Amino acid sequence: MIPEDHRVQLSAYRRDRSTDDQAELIDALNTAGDDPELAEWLDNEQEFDNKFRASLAQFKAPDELLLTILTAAAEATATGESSAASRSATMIWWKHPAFLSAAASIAVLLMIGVLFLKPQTLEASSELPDLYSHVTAHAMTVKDYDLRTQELDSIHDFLVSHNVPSPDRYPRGGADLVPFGCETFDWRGRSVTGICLRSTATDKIVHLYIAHRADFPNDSHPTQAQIHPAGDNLSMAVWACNTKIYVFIVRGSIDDLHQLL
Amino acid sequence: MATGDSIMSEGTQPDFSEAVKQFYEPLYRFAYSLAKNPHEASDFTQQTFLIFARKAGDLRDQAKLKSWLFTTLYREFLRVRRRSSTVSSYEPELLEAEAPVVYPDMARSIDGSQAMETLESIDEVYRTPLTLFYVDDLSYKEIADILEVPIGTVMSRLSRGKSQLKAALAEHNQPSV
Repeated sequence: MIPEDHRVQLSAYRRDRSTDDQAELIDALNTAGDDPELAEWLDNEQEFDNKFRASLAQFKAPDELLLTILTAAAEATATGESSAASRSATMIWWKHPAFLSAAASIAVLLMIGVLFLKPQTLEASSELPDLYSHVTAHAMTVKDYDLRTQELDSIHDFLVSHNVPSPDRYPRGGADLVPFGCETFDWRGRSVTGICLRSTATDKIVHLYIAHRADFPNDSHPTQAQIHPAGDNLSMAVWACNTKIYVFIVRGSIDDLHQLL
Repeated sequence: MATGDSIMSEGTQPDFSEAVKQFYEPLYRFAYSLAKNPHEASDFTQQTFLIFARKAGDLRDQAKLKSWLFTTLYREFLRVRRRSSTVSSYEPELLEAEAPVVYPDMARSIDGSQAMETLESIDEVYRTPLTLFYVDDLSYKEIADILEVPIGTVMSRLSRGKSQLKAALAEHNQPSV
């Protein structure tokens, strides 16, 4: 019969660890050395722990979480959110108005720069710039996907069945793009679709947003893809094709974006 | 062993990106076991790294980065939990004097989702130290520091938690796993 105190002390013992800070274990380990029953029980415990640990390690975080953390933390620290603000925060940080407003402000300023400093490449319009800034900020948040799938066909079927904007084609025909999922949302009464994808060729996370051209009758619609920097290491391409407007955002340089188009 | 030594050296600032890459997965698993849903788990993980980004310079004992991150996440969870509801300090009595017979093979054939699901069925007071024990090889002392309880309490909770875990596995895996 294995003493209960030894069972408690050794239940989570690991042989690969020092016992320097675990003096309570010494007696139990000495006993295990002289007690075959306790030694066998300990071997089984160790084996069980190793296998359960290996199983649990297969439980993965969402694919986009790493990028989201790196992106948003960089943005948040760049905007100089104070630690006092953090302590008084009552909501998750990326939902904090200070962060969202800062991100939106940056995006708006960038779009103003894009529209007014480079009027030859993207004409001013009444609402599309706001949409661009909105989806730029949206791309930096954790996604609450309506559909989580790695199949482009499934996304297409889902979007069509819900009568929301669906891409007619993907950049590079979608050959190197694997989706994480898609999300649809209402923006000023217009339906917008967002699809998060990963390029298997470049290992870049990209976001494709689609809206109906008819929903923006007062805007000019660039028929050729126009590429612009969109913030801290973000690049964006916008174009219109057939009945849709596309906004394509990648974490990376304009060269990175070129590789994906 | 991921102690944080590889990404922080004496007198230098931590490499934020490396810290994120090294710890976001185990932190997410820990957060998921606490929150039991992916959205809150992501939020708590991100919040932890945001705090880290702000306070990395204040971290004096650089070798304790891993413990610091888990402690921060746990405190964030408790802070949010306290605001939204009550914190359970309920520590159920272990009904079984002996853990059910579970052979090591029972843990071999379950995948990550099944492992997490099984872990979720454990009483929270045991699940928290048990998750810390399994997700990133934290020692008794590190778990005790994170939970702010004595080492003896950690040992007791781990032992009881493992008994519950084995019972849950035995229940889910009958007749073969």
